[in-house]
Amino acid sequence: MNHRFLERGAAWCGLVYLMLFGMGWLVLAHFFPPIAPTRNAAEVARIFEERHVILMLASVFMMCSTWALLPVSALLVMIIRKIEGGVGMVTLMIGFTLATYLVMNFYTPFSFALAAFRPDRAPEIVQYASDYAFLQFMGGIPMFLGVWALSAYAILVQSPRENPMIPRWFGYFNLWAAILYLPELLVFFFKDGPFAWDGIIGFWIPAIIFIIYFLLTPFILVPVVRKHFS
Amino acid sequence: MNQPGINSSAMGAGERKPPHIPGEAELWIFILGDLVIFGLFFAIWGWNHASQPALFAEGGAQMSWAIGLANTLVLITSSAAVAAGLTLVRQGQGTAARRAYQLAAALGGTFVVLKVVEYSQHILAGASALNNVFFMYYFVFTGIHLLHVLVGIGALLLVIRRCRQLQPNTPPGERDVAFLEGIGVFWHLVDLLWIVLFFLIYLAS
Repeated sequence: MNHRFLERGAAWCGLVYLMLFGMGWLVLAHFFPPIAPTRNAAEVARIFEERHVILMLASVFMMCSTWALLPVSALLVMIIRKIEGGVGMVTLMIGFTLATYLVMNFYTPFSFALAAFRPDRAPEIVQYASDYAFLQFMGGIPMFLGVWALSAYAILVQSPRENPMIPRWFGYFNLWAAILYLPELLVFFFKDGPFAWDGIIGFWIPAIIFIIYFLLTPFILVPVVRKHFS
Repeated sequence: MNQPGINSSAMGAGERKPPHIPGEAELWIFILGDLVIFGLFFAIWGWNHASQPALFAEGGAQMSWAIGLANTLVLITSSAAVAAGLTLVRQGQGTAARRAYQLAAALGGTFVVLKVVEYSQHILAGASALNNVFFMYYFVFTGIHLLHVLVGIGALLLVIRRCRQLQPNTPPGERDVAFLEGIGVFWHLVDLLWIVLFFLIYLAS
């Protein structure tokens, strides 16, 4: 059976994911930068009340971006399996971490939707749901850091030096991304300054890496599918 | 590193060998990326220092100048050992090279121990990363650097293992040299970043 149509499509889906998620997070919700963690409950609740419909629509876009993340995740697992020469530890681990990433990718906007659902709710409850979303997405790295760390391992350690399936520079890029996502754990400790979820290390650096990564995926994945999947 | 003079004299005009890149070219994406991020850290430190000079003077006074200097010397010596190790590998002296790398890794371990002693002294003295801007940046920036040291020690252990596999009195393969160079470059980066941190935190404050 020929699955090349699905595989070719999947190679572009990282970009589609970025567009859908960005449509919600950036274009509609204007969470770029996010609502500051220093804002009090009344201020946060007012944002969700005044922009109620738009924020709900943004949440729906972000939730639906999970659909685009699904095929590109599957393709990544298949590529790692080819690199490993069968289903080994790295294939399974990257599969599991992509699965939790998919879950997180749904539950972050779901929490925004929860915050926007009843505008007449007590402000503290709205803030709770909003905090839940931001902390989950920025501090959720234990759920998804493995995607970058394991990709780096597969590309740099498990692949042959000559004619690797994925270029080695992308392996180093993945390693760099994994290291720069790590300080995001600090969002749990700070409400202000560069480590907070709207700060340079808590938000801007990881956000820019996130965008670069998904912009790069078609350039990496389309040639891989063309050469190695037939 | 190759001396460009040797290359150009050995080869005819017009067919210059491409310049030698230590490690592999792709590695430098990671090295330069890391430098950019630490450059950002240094700028954040400098900006905060300039805007709150009293707080940073007070924090700087609590720094153990002796431990900071000791750690600087430990890392510089360790870097020198890594450089010596690479030279010995190139000369085909795998056993001596392994000893040099073992020394480098042990010095890396010394850095970690001293850093833990220093951290515990600050914590016992009541310093908190949560309500003092100086200590927040101090703990986070030196903590991220310490993470690099730990990664570097892990890499040096791989190097020591690789040295065991080298044939005695035979020049190493290109692949071995690239591997050792790459890890050497990373270790020098760790050293370089610490020297800047030492200057900013211990001397300038």
